[in-house]
Formats: sequence, structure tokens, C-alpha cells
Amino acid sequence: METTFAFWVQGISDALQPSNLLFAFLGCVIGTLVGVLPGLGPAAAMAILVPLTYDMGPVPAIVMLSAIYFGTQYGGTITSVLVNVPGESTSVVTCLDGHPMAKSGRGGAALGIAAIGSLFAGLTGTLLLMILAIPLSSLALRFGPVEMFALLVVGLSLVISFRGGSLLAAFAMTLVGLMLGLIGLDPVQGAPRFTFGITSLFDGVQLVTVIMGLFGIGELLLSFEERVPEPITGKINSLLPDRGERKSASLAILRGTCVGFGLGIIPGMAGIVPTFMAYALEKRLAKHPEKFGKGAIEGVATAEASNNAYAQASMVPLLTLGIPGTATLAVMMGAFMINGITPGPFLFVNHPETAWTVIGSFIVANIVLFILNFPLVRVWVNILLIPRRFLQVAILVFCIIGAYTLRNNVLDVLVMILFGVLGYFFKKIDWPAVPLVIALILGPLLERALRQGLELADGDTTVFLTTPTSALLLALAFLIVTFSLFANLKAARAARLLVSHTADKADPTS
Amino acid sequence: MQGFDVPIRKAGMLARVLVASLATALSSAAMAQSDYPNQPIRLIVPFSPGGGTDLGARLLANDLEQVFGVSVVVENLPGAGSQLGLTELANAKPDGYTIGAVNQPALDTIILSPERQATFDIDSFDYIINHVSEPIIIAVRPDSPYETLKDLVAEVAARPGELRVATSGLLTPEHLAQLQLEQVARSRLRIAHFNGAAESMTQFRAGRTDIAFTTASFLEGLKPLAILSRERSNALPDLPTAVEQGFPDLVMVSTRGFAAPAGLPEDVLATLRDAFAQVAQSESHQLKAAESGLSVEIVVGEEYEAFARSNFESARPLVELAQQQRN
Amino acid sequence: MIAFPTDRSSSPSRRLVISKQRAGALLFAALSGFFIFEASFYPYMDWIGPGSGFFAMWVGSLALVAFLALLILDPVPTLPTSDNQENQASARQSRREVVGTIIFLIVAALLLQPFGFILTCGLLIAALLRLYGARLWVALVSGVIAGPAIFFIFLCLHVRLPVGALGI
Repeated sequence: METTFAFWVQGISDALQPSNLLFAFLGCVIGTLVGVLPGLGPAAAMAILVPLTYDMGPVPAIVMLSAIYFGTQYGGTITSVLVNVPGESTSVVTCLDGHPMAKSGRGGAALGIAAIGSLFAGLTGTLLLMILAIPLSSLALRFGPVEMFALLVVGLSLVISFRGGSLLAAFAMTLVGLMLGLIGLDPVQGAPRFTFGITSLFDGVQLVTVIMGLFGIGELLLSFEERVPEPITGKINSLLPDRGERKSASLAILRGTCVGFGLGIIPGMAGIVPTFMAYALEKRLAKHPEKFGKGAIEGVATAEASNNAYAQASMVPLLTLGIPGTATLAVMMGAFMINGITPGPFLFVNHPETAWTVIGSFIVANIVLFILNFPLVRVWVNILLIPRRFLQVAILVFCIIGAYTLRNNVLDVLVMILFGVLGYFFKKIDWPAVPLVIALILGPLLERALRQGLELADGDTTVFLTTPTSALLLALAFLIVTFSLFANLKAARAARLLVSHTADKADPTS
Repeated sequence: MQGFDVPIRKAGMLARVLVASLATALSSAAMAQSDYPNQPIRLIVPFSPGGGTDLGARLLANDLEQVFGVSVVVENLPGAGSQLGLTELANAKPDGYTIGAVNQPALDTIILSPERQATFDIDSFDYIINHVSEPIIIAVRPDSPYETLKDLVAEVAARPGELRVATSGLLTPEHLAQLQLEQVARSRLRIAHFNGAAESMTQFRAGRTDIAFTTASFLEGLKPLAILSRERSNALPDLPTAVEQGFPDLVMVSTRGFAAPAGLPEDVLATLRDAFAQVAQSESHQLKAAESGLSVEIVVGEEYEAFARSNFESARPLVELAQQQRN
Repeated sequence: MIAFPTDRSSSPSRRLVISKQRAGALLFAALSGFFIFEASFYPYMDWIGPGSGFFAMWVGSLALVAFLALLILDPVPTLPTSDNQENQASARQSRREVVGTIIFLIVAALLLQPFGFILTCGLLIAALLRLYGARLWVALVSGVIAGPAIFFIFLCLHVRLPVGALGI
């Protein structure tokens, strides 16, 4: 244990050298800018910058790349809050409450709590990473396709019981998401499903285009109908939550960190799952759950904390198993390998000093990011001061660039526009878009995990019930659905009673 | 709103711009024939940035720029396991200004799978050079009782439908190698498909699969039994091939090469082949490639064409086998 | 064509929203039906378990049921945050902006590769600004400046936006 501690100290002090700090600052600036420009996905940006870091030497390169990585996360938060365009899939949940907050003039507070939450989650996550990386990796190893399937069923059950208006509409939208997820080559035989001969659809509908369309363009189209009487001022009252919110916001950050980290260590876990689960949890525990989706600061706090905790935790499978959970992490892995760091089970054994330096650089990157961005929140919010029409055109142009540069493919742009129209329509008839997005992500993962589990078990379906973790999780999913069904029936009955009472009151002669 | 003269003046300007651009375009088309290359070259990589193929392509592109004196721009066209990028390459004009990275067996499996509806086939390309070759290696855990490939094959034959293996995807080199093993042992394996090599190797390390089919980069801590190349590898001189252990049908090497759309003028193709050979065989490139973990194996020109075609033919029965099994 | 009721006597905004929801439910019910039809061509079971058609059939069927339920039951949705406009002219204006934006975006997407980024972007920006009420010269100047500027920024970042047939 002493040698590990010595490595920690060495790692952090390496990362803190002035030249490395400079690279960290540079990385944060680049990363934030990249995250703010929807046209430049973090994966592509990192891929381009990676060869540049080639001549720097491993430590500065890793410090800079980590800074860029976290910077892009925060840049995505900025666009989510200010213009409802999620930078990455994990930023979708931030949009839900972040953008309404911006619309009601509390954009500064939203970005502020995002920065605070991210910092807390980042530092806590890195600390946990340092202590638990090695034991966690063996735990992560034991999570196979069978367990993953069960976990995804839990995730889906949470989505279905997500109460945001009509339960039936949420259920229907989940199914739409599942249907969309089925488009493409199937994991069973590799045969195309629902592609109608369009080869660009072989990989399915691209998630980023769906998200940009549903949230970014949909919101934009809707805003044409809102006659904004008062312009959104750049004047920010405070970057901090109000007195009354402080306690609940802090708890939200704490819970978000736990959920984000806990689920983030699972290899191949998509970022949006822990973020959404943290959000759903927070909503369930809140005193005023109806405020969620309309500007509850706890929503932003938990979303940001969990997705930053996830970012730290996802380093466990990356560094110890070589499995990247997202495209950006895959590029990071490539960056590590170019700099002579081969992620895998033997990294901590053969090159412990490098591994700990990498982790030390995360701490530095998180802190630098906060120092850089927290004061800059006022600057960022001024984006809202740009004359509305120019801002809207800019958003549209960048969305088109973002969709196109994903795969240099025009179909992606058209899909994005389609979902823009759908997003607009869904908002008008109050059908929730979030279940669709989550089902779109979870569906294919679920089918694949089921398939893999069956292939390994030679077709024996009982394996999902005989594996303890899996059985437990499936039972949990069942409970979640049943519980929320009862809760909804009760609420419906109560509502009906209320309606009939008021009707009675209104017309005493009946 | 504005006066009528403004739009007319604007139209005149626009017309002038159009004519000028047209003239430039026509003259550059004429120039293209005379002196190759005198325009930027498009290098299509049918995978996302940051992967192995992309890395190798960018390394070569950098050096090629020095040789050609024009910029060589890498264009990532990922999707459908390289089908999208390959389609674009096959449909491009065969003037030498569009070339692309071509991976086998990906190319072969796409062409040979009817449901993929590929719009190209093995004749759609003029082959330039092979850059990287990665043979599949069969390995087991260090504490497992198998010492030779023969032991393993016997075990597979004795226990049909029990031993578990993982692949990095449907019809990837590992999958094809596993089908070969099934054929040789006249038995059946439990084959599970994952997303990428790291995921499939994790299953092995976690004990969920029994035999690892992998490449050299994942061998640490494993006991390799055979390498599925025709000859021993220089990097692993002590690892016997499956062929020398008495299994001539167990050969599986994934290759990464470069090609252009079919129909290139002879001199252009020759120029490309020479330039690529020069760059790929240079010491500095070999050094950089080794550092990045790429196992380079150069096969140039007509030799590569023959090589590619023979790879294609070897893949054919395996793909048919895979499809039979499904039905 | 589905006509939305224009009867103003009973809570106009609520009536309109309900009808739109029914239209949506009908559309998606039809899509689900089509989905089920397509799914019937895919193998239901495999030698090992669910085939490619298994989930497709189930999800499609459940979706059909859900949307038919939405169509028939038509639960009262929560009122949308934006109230209906008093002013008919401004309602027409905003519809024009919505439809115009969508059309311009689609056209831009289709022109992106043949015309190249600079030209397409310039045209799009000019068209959108004009649609949103900017003056003609403002729109054109913005388009002419922004197109090349954005192309250049992304070029510095090593992202190659499409170059069209005219070489720009």
C-alpha cells in the first residue's frame, strides 16, 4: 500500500508541474470550445489533436488530452443549457432542466451548479478511482452479457415508469425508441432490418443526429411560436443556487456522483444510462417532483455530477481492461497507445507510475477546468444576448455541420432534420422525447446482450435466472414497473375523484 | 423593396463568377491528364478516426505528401463495417485522385454476404499495396491443460457445443478462424459475437470463454498455441504455425492495404504503387509503424492483387459456412 | 387531409392540442402497423433463441396497441407552455418561419455535396435570415462572409467540409 501511495504522490506532483499545468489550461480551453461548437464532436477533435501531442512526451500529452476530454464535456453542458443542443448524449439530461432555467433567466445558476457539481464529482470520482481502480477492475470483469442484459432491463423499466405527463405517452415513446433502435444490421445474423436498401442505415439511426434534431432543432422550431415579450437578459443574479435550494442541490450532487460512478465502472456502459438513472432517482426523491423538467436546479446538479462521475469511472474499464465506453474514450485510448501506454490488465502491473500519472492528470484537469470556467460563466451566458435571429441561424448551421461531419454523410443531416420536425411535433402534443432517446440507446444494447448471453449458454434461457446478479436485477425491474403502475393507477383514481368533486361543487344542482 | 438595378447587377456578378469557376474546373480537368499528381489526393479510410487503419493511413499520407508534392487528405467514411467507404471508393472516378484503404476479410465478407447488397466486388478495384498483416493467434490460459494445438483440437472434437469462444464481431477474422477450427475438428463451438477485440478478450479474461482467438497485441499473460499465418512471424519466432503443427486448413490473416477504383491509367497506377512502396519500405516509416503497434508486411503491385484475390477465394467457403449455420 | 376543428366556442387551444395528439397517434399507429408488416419477413426464431424478427414483432405490436389506445382514449394532456396566439397574423408568420426553416434545411442538406459547403452555407444563412425578417443586404452579406469564414475555421481544425463541383 505504501508503494501505491508513493505512486499517487508522484503522479499528482508530475501532473502539477508548471509546464503540464500550462498544457492543462490549453486543453481545457480547446476542449470547452470544441464542446461548444456542435460541429466538432469531441471524438473527431481529439483524433485530430492526438498526432500533435505525439512530440510532447507522454505526461504532458496525457494531461492535455484529459483536459480536452473534460473540457468538451463542459462545453457540451454550455450548449445544452443555453440553446438546448446537447453536446454529447450525456448532455441530454442536462437540457431537461438546464434550458428552462436559462429561459427564465437563471442560466448563470444552471452553469454554475453544473461547474460545481462536475468539480465535486470529478474530484470524488478520481479519488475513488485511485483507491478502487484495481479491485474494481476485477469486479468489472465479472459483469458479463447476462448481467448486462438484466441491468439494461432495469434501465428500461425506469424509463417506462418515468413520470412526465401521460404514462401511456411515455410508454408509447419508449416503444418508438425501441423500434428505431431495431433499424440496421441485426446482431443475430448481420442481416439488414428496416433499411429498405439504404446502406447508410446499416449502422442504424445515428444517436447524435436524433438528439440534435429532437432537442436542438425541435426546440428552435417551437421558439418561433413563442412570442418572447421580454428579451433574455445577460444579467445574471447569481452563479450559485438560491438559499433554499442549496441543501437539495448538494444532495443531488452527492447522489449523482454515486450513481454515475457506480454504474460507470461497468465496461461498455453508455454514459446516458447512469445520468438518466440519477435524474430519475432525484426526481423520485424530490419534494416537488413536478418542478423537474421546468427548471429544477437539482436536475441539472445531478445530471452534471453523474456524467462527470461516469467520465472518471469509465476510466476503470478503459485503463484496466482496454474497453472504451464511448467513441471519445476510444480515441483517448488510441492517444494513450500512441504515447506508449497500453491500457489493459497489465498496465498497473507493468507501468504503475504511468497509470497513476494519468489519474493524477485527471485531478489537475478537473480543477483547472473549474477555475477556468466558473468565472467565465458570465461570458458564456452572454451568448444569449446575440440577436435572436442570428443565434438561431448559427445554431442551425452548426447543427448541420455537426450532423454531416459525423460520418461525412448527407443522410445523417436529413435524419436530423426529420427528428427536428418530430421533436417540434412531440413538444406540441406533449409526448416526452427522453424515453425515446433512452430506448434508442438501450434497445440495441439489450438485444445484443441477450444474444451474447444465449450464445455463450448454447441457447439455455434459464441462465438469466440462475445467475444471481441477473436474477436480482430482473426482480428489481419487475418491482419498479409494478410499483409505478400501482402509483399511477392510484394517481389516476385520485385525479378522477378530484375532477368529479370539483364538478359537483361547480354545479350543485346535479 | 430595393431598386431593380441591384438584382441585375448582382446577377451579372454571379454570372461572371460562374464562368470563371467553370473555366478553372475545365482547365484543371485537362491538366489532370498531363502530369500526375497535380491536385490533392483523397485517401478514403472506411473507419472512424483513431483506429488502427486510420492510424496507418495517416502515417503513410504524411510521407506521401513529401513524395508527391501535393496534399494527401484523409477522409473518414465509417459505417457498415467499411461498406460505406468502400462503396464510395468503388464509385469514384478512376483518375488516381481518389484512393482508399481496403481491409480483408472485411472486403470479402461484404461482397460475399448477399444480404449486404454490395454494389462492388473484388474486380472493382485496382490494388496498390498491402501495408499491414495481422495473423490470428489461438491462445489459452497459462494454467490450462492444453500444451499443443493438437490437444485443443482433440478437445473440441470430443466436446461438441461446449467450448466457448468470442469474436469481435460477425464475420471478423476471429469468427472465420473459429469456423475453420470447427471444420477441422468436425465439431461445434459456442460462438458469441462482441463489439471489438477488447470486449471479446475481456470475456476470455473473465473466464466466460475457453479459447482466445486474438492478435499479437493482446497476448500478454496468455499461452499461445499457434499462429494462423503460413510462416512464423518475426515478432514471435517461437510460436509455431498451425500449418506446421499439421493443420494446413487453419490459416487466417487479416490484411490492410490500399487500392483505387478499377480502370486507372497504367502510368498512374504504376506511380501510385512505386510511391507507396517507397514510403512504406522506408526506415523512418517502419520505425513509426512499429512504435504504433502496426505489424507491417509489404506486398506491392501485381503481387498484392494476386494476394488479395487469393484471400477472397479463401474467405468464400467460410462465409458460406457461416450462413449455412444460421439457417 | 385531417382538418383541425376551428370551433372557437369551447377552449380552442385545448381542442386543437387534443386533435393534434389524435393525428399523431394515428400516424404512429400506422407506422407501427407497417413496422409489424416488415418484421413478419424476418425470421422469428433462430436455432439458439430469438431471431431478427422476434423483438421487432413484439415491439411493433405493443407500439400498435399503445398508439391505438392513445387514439381512442385520448388522455387529457397537460397544457403546453406556449399559449395560443391572439393574433392570427403572427400565427401565420410563425408557421411560415417553421415551414420555411424546414424546407431550407432540407434543400441545404441536399445541396451540401454538389454545391460545396461555402456556397450552400452562404445560401442557407442568407435565406434563413431573410425568412426571419432581416434586411436583404444584411442577409446576403452575412451569407457571403460566414460561409468562407466557417469553412476556414474548420479547415484550421483539420475538419474538411465538403467542396463542391465548382471547386469551392
